[in-house]
Amino acid sequence: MILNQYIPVILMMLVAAGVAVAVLGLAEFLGPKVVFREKMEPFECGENPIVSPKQRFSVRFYLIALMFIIFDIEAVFLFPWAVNFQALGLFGFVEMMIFVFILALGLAYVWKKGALEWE
Amino acid sequence: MWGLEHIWWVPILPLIGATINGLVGHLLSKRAVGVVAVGSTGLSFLVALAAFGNILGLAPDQRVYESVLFTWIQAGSFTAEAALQVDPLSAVFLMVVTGVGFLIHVYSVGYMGHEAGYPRYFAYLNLFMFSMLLLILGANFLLMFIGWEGVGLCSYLLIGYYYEKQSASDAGKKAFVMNRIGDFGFLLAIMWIFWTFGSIDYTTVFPVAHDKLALGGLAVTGITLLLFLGATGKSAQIPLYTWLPDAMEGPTPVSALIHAATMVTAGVYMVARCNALFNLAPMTMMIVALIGATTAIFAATMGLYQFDIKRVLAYSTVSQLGYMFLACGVGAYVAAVFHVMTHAFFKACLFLGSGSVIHGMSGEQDMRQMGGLGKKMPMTHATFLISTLAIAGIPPLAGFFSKDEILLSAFLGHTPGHLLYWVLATIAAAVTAFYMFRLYFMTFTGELRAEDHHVRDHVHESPNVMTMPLVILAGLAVVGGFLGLPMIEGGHALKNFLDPVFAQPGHAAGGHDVSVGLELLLMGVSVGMGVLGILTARYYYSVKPEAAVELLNKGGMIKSIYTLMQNKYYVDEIYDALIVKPIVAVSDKGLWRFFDVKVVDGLVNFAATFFMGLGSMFRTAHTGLTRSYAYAMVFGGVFLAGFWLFLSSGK
Amino acid sequence: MTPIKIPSIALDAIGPEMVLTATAMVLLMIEVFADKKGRDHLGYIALGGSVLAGALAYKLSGVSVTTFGGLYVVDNFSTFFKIIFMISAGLTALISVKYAQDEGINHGEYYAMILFATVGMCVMASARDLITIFMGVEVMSIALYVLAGMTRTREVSNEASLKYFILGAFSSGFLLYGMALVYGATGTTQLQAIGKAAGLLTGNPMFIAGAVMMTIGFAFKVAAVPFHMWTPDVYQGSPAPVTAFMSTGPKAAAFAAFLRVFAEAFPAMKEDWWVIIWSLAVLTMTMGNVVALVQNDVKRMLAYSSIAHAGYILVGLAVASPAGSSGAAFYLLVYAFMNIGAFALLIVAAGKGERTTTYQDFSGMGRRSPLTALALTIMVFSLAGIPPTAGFAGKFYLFMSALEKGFVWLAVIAVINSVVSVFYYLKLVVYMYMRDEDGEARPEISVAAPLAVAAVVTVCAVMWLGVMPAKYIDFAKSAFLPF
Repeated sequence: MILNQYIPVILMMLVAAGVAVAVLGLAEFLGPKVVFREKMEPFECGENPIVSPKQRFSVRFYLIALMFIIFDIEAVFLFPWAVNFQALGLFGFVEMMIFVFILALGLAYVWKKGALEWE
Repeated sequence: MWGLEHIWWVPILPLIGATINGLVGHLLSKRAVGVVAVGSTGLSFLVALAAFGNILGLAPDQRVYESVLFTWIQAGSFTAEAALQVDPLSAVFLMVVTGVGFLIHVYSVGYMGHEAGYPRYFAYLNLFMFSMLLLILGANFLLMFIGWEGVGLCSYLLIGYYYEKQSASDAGKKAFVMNRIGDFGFLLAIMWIFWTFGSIDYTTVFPVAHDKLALGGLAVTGITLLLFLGATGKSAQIPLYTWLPDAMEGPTPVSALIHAATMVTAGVYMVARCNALFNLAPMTMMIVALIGATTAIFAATMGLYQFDIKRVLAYSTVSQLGYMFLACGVGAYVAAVFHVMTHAFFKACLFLGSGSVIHGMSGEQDMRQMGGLGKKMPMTHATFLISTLAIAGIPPLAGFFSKDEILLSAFLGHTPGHLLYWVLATIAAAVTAFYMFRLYFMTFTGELRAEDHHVRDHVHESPNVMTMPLVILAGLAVVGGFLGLPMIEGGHALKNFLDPVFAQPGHAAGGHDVSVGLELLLMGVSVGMGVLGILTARYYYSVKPEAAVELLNKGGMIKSIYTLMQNKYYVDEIYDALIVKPIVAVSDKGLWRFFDVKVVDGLVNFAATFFMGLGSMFRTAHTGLTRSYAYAMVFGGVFLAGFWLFLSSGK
Repeated sequence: MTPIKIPSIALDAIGPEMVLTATAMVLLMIEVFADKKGRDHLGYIALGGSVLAGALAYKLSGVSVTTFGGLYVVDNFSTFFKIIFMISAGLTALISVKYAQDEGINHGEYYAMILFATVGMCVMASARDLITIFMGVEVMSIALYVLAGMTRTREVSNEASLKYFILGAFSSGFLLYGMALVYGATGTTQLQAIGKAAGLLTGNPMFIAGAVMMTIGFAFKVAAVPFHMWTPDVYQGSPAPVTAFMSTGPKAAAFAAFLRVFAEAFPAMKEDWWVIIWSLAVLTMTMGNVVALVQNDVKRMLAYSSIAHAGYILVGLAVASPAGSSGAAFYLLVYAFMNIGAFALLIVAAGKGERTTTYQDFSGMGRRSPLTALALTIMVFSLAGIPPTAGFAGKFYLFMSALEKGFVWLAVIAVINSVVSVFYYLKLVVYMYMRDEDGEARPEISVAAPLAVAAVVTVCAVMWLGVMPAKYIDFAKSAFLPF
């Protein structure tokens, strides 16, 4: 019977669920609870929170973040290339220049589109 | 003289005509449109004539010519070539289609003269010619199927020609849907043939059919039944016949060309073409004969009841097609083709004659408004009378020879139940003679019954461009039957010509072994039935119309019907009820209403409603909510996973 | 430290992809640097790029190389599909020219996205590695999400874009997870290596789970029931040229990847999955056709009909034969022409803002604009598979491949379905020719030059492929996959 093969899986799921419930339950019952104002405040690197975090962010943050990731990845590619520069030779150089050129075009595009201007 | 290698011009010429009229027709004058349409068909006829001459010039056993134009589809082991084939069978159809088609084109120039959309009409008509010729000339099933679809499409477009009329566009749709049911069977049959033979070429399939298929086996029975389903759709046989009477919504020349002379005989052509397969399937043959005979009598009785001149002719066409299938079913393919030919002549003449009448009556189609037209339309009258006599089977007109041959074949056939079919067909012959002469007497004799003075004063003979085709067709209806002489000795000219196509291995292709005396007796019976029908019609519609009133005074049920029918039309209603009381009771109240409206339309409607309902049900699954779409994906995925695991664990 | 070894790279093999990428970047630069007048030529530049890329792809026919360390393959199969993509992209650019100007989306980005999506499609057709396939899928999909929402001021367009994005991301999850499981079971992402390993893995649950999840991912992309739910909403909401594009090129690309993965990675499990694909095909065609019957809107009807066509094409996969794969390829070629043709004419009829797309809006078209009506009639007849149009040749060849392998019932069901489909296609013809106008004011039908060119090209192609398909079927036959 093929279902026999699944018994370990089911057991595994049961054990996992049991452990999770047990740990949470034990903490709830056994842990001491001391409640005071500072403890209930959100922790923000030691700073006092000044506004509610549930407000909207400007979409520009995302644009900046996306661009950061793109150029970050460019850097990720550039490091190993630089290390192997000699071995890769002229071919590697041309390839990387094309890659950088394409990204530069992208930069030109976002610049011209005004995505870099804050206001 | 042009040889057979130019045969491809026959279908191409009408196609060129259709293209010109379809694309730039609206820029041309009416005259130019007519010249293009008639000219292309006429030239096509001439080329076909040359081809026919060439075929006749060959030795009888070499009368098959195949011309490969190009390879159309080649896929794996499957090859379909765009190839045309001329053999005696297609040659006969070729002459009928191009000849009658040409005459009807000429007639249309006069008949459609006042209509809007003149170029559109001729573009469709030429396109129809192209498709029909492709159907006949195609050298494989696929080309036949393309022609088959094409003629259906053109028929649909032309029925709906007066699309301002709701009934016309409904009729067009009905025709298309019913034909699709048949076409579906045909397509399945083609697939099955390919599956069995690995080819769809006539020249590959038919010679080996005898070796590859067991006599009466499942495969050959299935294939032929599906083919026959296709034929019932196209040729308006039970149960797919109801579109044909409705198709009379189209212009009258279209009814003559498509719904009488050519397209509706495509089913007969197909069965005759596949005779090698049908001969191997006795059960299918029996069904073909049974459906043919039943349709012949059934449609004839329905013709009794109609008042629309074109609907009478439509039911008569259905009935005559029934004869042709009866002939096929008893293995008398020659008789079937013979009847196709003679029927094309006299029925085209009748339709064109009715068109001439309708033209003269300013568009009136109700026979109760007609009468006495014989004096005012002498040409139409004379040609109509000849054709009516021909369809009634009066010697020596064309219909007599072909119908008699069918009856004889049914009487002598080997198909189970052939004597019953003979009886049915013989009765149908009498009924046919009766309702056709009812039509004749109501239309051409007596006094004009139209009330509208405008119509009364306007009655006139049609112009020469319309009467000349009538005269030619009537002439053909007189002499066309002589191709079947001498029939008493068994073989005749047409039979000798067609026999190579229908020769079967293992069976002698000889004539019937029958004494002259029996043949003459049967002939006498069928002529007698025809005369009986004519005389009855004459009595009730010409000599003594008041006989009905006497019958009426006997009271009872008839009287109550009388009170129901208040106006002057009652006479006809009651004549009908009295003369063929039992038949009408069955055909009109029982069969026509019930079968037509409930069963056949019901089935079509059911299919539509069923799918529509299913569609609405599924449509509600599209709530527009993205999350429910995601759920559907998850459930589908779970199902897929379970299914796959189940399948792989099964091993 | 060992230096990086450069794998063998055949740059000439990716000529079409490079041309497309370069053209797309040129379009972006024009968008930001050129003046307003320069934008009038955007569509034609995109068309030119597609044509050039198509020509390069065509030059590669007969070539068979595997390059980039086995990640990328150029064979007749991929070449044939790339030609379909270029036809799809080029025609879309052509039918977009007028539309984009009318709807205010005449931006470089619009055409660039079409070309970027096409690059992704090319990668999908040529990929011989799970990771490369996924990359192609994402390049294509992300561009399509943007295209769906291109008409930003129309609410349905936004809705289409967002729905497509969310569900598309969901399906990408399935696809990627499936790939991970397959990798886990076989230890490789290379398709042929998976195929070899799979022989020893029949019945392995992890491998099967991976295969199932990948099937779900592909089934979503080709819009197979029950993973089709996004299709009607997205197709209806997207701008009409984008819908024309999505239903042809990307669908073909998804089929290309679907076919290649199943042919090269999972042939050992053919016995299991043909039933699955068989069921998907039947469900998809039936559902698509049946629901299309009850639609009132022509654009939505075409969306459901596109689902039905995906069902027919799945037949080519279900039969798991070389003839099946080339049958599917040929059908997709035909479908690209006829569906884009139908959408081109829909754009003509719908007028600005796509306001008039119900059946009712087509009434009297035969009289108002006879040539448009005629062309649309040819297109719907082809979609319905009525000879002698290309749709018939395509269906015939495809269903024949099913018959050859003995899949009689599948062929019969497919034929029944194509009979059912005639009803709703015919309805359009009925409205155009057999209904008079209802007196409501509709925009005057005017056919802009590029649309007219697209219509003429597609009509000619549909007729030509229907009457003389032999040469093209031969080409398709050379574009097979060994199962």
